[in-house]
Amino acid sequence: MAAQLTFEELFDPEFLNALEAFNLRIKRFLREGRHGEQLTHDRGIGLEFKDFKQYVPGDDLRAVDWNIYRRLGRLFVHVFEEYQDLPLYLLVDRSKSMFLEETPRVHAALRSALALSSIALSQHDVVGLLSFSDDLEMHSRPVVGRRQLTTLARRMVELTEQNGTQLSSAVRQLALRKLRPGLLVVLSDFFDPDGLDPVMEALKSCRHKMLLVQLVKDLDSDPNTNAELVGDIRLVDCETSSAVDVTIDPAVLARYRRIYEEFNLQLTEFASGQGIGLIRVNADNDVLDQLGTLFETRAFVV
Amino acid sequence: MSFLNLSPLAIGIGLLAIAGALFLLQQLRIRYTELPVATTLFWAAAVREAPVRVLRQRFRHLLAYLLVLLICWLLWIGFGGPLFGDPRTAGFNILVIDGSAHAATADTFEQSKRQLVNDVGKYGRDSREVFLSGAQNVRILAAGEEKLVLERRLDEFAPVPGRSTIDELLRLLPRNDNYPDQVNVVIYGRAPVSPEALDRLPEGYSVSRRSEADAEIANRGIVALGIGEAVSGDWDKVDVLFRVLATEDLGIDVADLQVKSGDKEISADEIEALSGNEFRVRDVVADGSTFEVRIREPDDMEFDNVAQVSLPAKERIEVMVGSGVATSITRALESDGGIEVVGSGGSVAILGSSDEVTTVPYLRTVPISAQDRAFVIGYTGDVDANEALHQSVANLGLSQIDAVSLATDFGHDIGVKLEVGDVQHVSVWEDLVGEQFNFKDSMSFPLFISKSVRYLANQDPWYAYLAAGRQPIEQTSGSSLASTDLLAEYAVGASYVRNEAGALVLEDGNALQVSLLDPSAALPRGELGLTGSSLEITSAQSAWGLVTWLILLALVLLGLEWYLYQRGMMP
Repeated sequence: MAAQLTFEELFDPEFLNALEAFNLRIKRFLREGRHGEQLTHDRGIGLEFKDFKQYVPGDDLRAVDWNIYRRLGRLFVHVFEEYQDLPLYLLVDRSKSMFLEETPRVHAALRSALALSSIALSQHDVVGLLSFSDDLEMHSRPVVGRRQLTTLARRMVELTEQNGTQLSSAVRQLALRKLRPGLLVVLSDFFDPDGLDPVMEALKSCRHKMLLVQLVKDLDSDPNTNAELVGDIRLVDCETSSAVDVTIDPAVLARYRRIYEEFNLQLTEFASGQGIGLIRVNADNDVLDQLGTLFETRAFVV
Repeated sequence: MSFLNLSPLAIGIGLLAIAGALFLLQQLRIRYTELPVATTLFWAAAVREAPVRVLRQRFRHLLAYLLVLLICWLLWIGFGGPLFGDPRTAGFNILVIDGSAHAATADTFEQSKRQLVNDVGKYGRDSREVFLSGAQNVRILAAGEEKLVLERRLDEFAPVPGRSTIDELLRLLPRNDNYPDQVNVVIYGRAPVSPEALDRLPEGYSVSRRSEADAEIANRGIVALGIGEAVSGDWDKVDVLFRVLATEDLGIDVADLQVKSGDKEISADEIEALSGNEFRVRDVVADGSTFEVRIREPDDMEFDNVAQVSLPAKERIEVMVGSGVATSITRALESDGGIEVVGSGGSVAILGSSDEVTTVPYLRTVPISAQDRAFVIGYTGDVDANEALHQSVANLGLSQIDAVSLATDFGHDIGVKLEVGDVQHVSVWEDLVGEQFNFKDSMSFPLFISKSVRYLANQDPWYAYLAAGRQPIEQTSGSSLASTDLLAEYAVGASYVRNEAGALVLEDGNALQVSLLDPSAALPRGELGLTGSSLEITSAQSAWGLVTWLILLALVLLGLEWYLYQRGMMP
């Protein structure tokens, strides 16, 4: 198992500089609207006039349109559009699979989370950090403000390895918590032992807007890159310890690739069908580069 | 590996065993290497579609099995090196590499070595032995010894300037009770085998030859060198004759020869060319030096380009003649150029019946009453009497006396008696050499006198013709009773025959030159009649082509299997 990132490693000057550049890059793209800015259905005391409505007891008397009352003899009040901040909930996978291999997926997951947090906090959005493995864990009260990025990073490096991937259970537990509706970012490899179906069911029931960040590696799609995958191999699942005996030959590799592509396709179609954002971050490559490109090319929309 | 000692049944069993082993291997459960992965979700699904091999799973990959089986069978047969049509299918195998002068031409010996080393691995270790047939027959690889030992030992040998002893080996092999009834003798090299040697072999023995085609050999060789008494009659000189053979492309002329007697070179004018490539040099001084004939230009075989013979050292024997010696004896002595009559002293005394017996060896005439036999030969030392008597009759020339006629005239039986004494002597009835009988006038009389004197003088023998592989011919008479038969000391119950040419230094320091090779070694076989034509010649490449193709085919199939595997078309 690979070691968890230390704070210095995760928040090193190089990454910090890269994060600054990433923020500037993203801001140019977000001039038309930031990803956390939400036009709510609530009518309130905003600046933009929306409509009139009949006065009911309890309405703010300052919004009464006295001209209409003089002409019609009835009380109407101004209705304004109200913009609200959208909380950002980061749900990080802490299962063993995220900590396996030379460059573990969790490194990329935390860097992605930090990048998204940086954007949100710079826009004064609230950011909450949650994690899951067998159960859901909430690590602190949501934070707001640019200065809280360091706090968030410290909390992230405290996310140590847990057991299995129970994403569907975690999402259900999240639904039970009465969190203010916001943007839920799930950072995971989505290798749930029960498959994608229960995960997708759970995500459907979630009332938050969602962005799925799938952490992938080169060897997921091309096992040939793993030099140890030769001959007769007993593959042991790092989470469940279940073993699969396989004789590596071109036919088996071809079947594996097909099944993996079907898995990705299923996830993509689900996200597309549910209006859920989905991005794939390759844990073997630079995270900020990938995110920047995805934002600029509008490869995903929330 | 070789199928040489395997029956067809054993080969078939081997093929079936391979098929069975491969069948089991296809079904064997393999030992897996454990590898942790992020998830086995996809692998499990992939394997569900194509389960891994387990012990005794259903046999599914028939074509793959057949392909592997075919490859293994081809390798089994190919590396087995089948020698189809080879008569050596069973029994014990004796491989003989020729290390005689026949192998010294060009690279014959190296070729034979290569062939032998290549072939020896094809025989079972316990069913073959290897002999080197040079000056002697030496077993260089015993049954059970490793092939590597042979290669190391062969490096220590080179052809020797001697005749082939393969005939002798073929004579001795059947006497070895350790060999089975079926023995295959395979000869590597060009040494001839006589038809007589083949005829003597018992049933169950077969002889074949493994050799490359003969290369053209250009050679001149001295095949005979001998000494004879000088025709001129000079006592201290000899005539030397020699014979030189040459292959057709090379002639032989006096100018091609360099002849030396001791340090003195003999000019071409003195060399007389006779018929049949024979040459003679007359009146060579017999001073005990070495006479050498050398062919000036080198050719394909160096061994027979020089031949030497030791000339006799002819010294006059000083003889003291007593006063009562018969005139017939005196005349015989005077006519012998090798004898010098002196007044006193001398190494031999000739005495009459009235003369006193001397301390030096003597020939004496005695009255008929003094001894009961006509000839009494006295000898010293420990010599078997019967053997001594037999040889002395011949060596003193007594066998040439017409004893019956003499006895009739003389009125007495003519006999020979041996006696042991302090002084060597020969006693003869004085009446026998007297004027009244014709023994003194016979041709055998001066011979008897001459040989008796030389016997009494203990003169060293000399050899007129001392050639490798030939029995030596002694020239000095009367040597059988004494220790003068030098070469006899080297033989036990047989005449001494040295197989290797070159200098032979005896224990007493005397050096003799053993020259000449077998004539068949000087010229390629076939020209001299001693050929291996009666032998079955087995080609060294009998199955090489087939073996090569079998192995190549196996490699091609191996490549095909790898290609199919890489393309996912084979499990």
